Amino acid sequence: MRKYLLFIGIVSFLVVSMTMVPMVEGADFSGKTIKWIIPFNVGGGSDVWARLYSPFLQKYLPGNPIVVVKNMPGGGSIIGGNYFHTRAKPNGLTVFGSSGSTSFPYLLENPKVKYDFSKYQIVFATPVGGVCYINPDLGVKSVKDLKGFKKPLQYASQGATSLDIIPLLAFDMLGLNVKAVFGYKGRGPGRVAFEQGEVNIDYQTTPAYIKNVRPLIQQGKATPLMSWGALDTKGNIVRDPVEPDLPSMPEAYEMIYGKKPSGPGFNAWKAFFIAGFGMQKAVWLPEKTSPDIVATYRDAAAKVIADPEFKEVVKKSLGGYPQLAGKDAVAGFQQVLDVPQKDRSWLINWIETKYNVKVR
Amino acid sequence: MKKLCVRMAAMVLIVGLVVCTTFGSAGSKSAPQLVVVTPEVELSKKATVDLKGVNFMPDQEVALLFIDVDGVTSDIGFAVDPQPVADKTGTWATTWKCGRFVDKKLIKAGSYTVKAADVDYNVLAEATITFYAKK
Repeated sequence: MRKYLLFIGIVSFLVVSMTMVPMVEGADFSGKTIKWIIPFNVGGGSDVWARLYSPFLQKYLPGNPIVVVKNMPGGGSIIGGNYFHTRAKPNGLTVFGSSGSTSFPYLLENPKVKYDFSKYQIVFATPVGGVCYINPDLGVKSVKDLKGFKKPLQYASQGATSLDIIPLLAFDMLGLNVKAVFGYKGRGPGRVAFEQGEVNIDYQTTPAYIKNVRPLIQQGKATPLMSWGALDTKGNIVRDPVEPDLPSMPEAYEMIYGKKPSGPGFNAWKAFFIAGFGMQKAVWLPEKTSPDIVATYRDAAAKVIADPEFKEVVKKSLGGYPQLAGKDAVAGFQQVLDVPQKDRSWLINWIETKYNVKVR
Repeated sequence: MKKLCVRMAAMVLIVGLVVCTTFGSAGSKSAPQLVVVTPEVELSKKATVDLKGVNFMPDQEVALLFIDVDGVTSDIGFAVDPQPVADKTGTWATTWKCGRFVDKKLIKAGSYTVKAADVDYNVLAEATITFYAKK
């Protein structure tokens, strides 16, 4: 009887095995295809980033799976994020590529957001920087000249809940009298508005700054003031390596007020800075992904980052910033998740009060 | 005797499943085909490609994959209209607005592979598209 039951058991196992949906076993992706959801259109910053990384992930993930970039534009990246949250299975075959534009609605408690970064597993993250500059006609030579500076300034903004939270809150913390002019479709149009004299203070992400603003500085048409900073591996905001002679925003605050920034405004600014710049783009595995799959991905990411050919890609196309994999990425984004609710509420209240915008 | 019968029945079941899994319904139905209705396309920001499929499973949702100039595979589902779903006869048709791929230099002059797959990206059929520069 026992043999009979054993035999039936083996038969049942074989039948079930043959009818099961294919899954990754032991984090070996041989013959598999991985879906990398990018919640933006093809050719945008996040898409370019994914296309730079994907051949190297294919190279270093065990079994050399095919990585398919699946663009899901719309809803300011909320559509793609929500799709990942509701549809991705924890089998290592679907990953999500977030950007600052994905993180901000999450942090601002946008009711349309279903995705929840606190439940996912981060694999790696890519930083970017931002450099702020001003019209030389205002007579400001450096950040020191901003102490007590009350002349009206204009800034071309994409919106009070966009990545522009970083410059707008920074200007406010530094005591600048800046009027945000809303309706611009991106930083490119913002820079054009600066060049045409429609606005007199601006910032650009570092790749655009290097390409488009440094020539203006050389021509005497722009004065660099400060960078937002860069995140070191210990989670501190340090000077941006792209412009090491410029103070970071926290340094600028200290130069103006003689003390380090603190309080709910700065706590919120720092969390949003990390989400928007310090770890602007990140790759995530879904909730309940097994530790061996997570470890396999993080190991592959570390190998990608160490690849000499990829280092050249980072230097040429990703601003040269150190890429964060594994525990560095976990620790970095934990600072975003750890921002106290009261500080988050402070920021939401600040946006709603200052710009008359309903955030949630 | 009874044990022997049970074992034989089980063996027949296993062999049958293996045969079905391996060979499927080959021979009873033609394999899916992906047809590029416009196989030669001029490079332009307004370029479109007409695609159709035959011999797919009725009601099957189809994912379309494109391998770009750098060898990166893209799911182009966001840029096709309508979404490809086979009808009762296993046929579907769609148009891919690929101008943005051209604009962003993910397509340059040359031949490219497009694949039709199931929603888990198991490839069912593939075809070639050639893009040529404006004359």
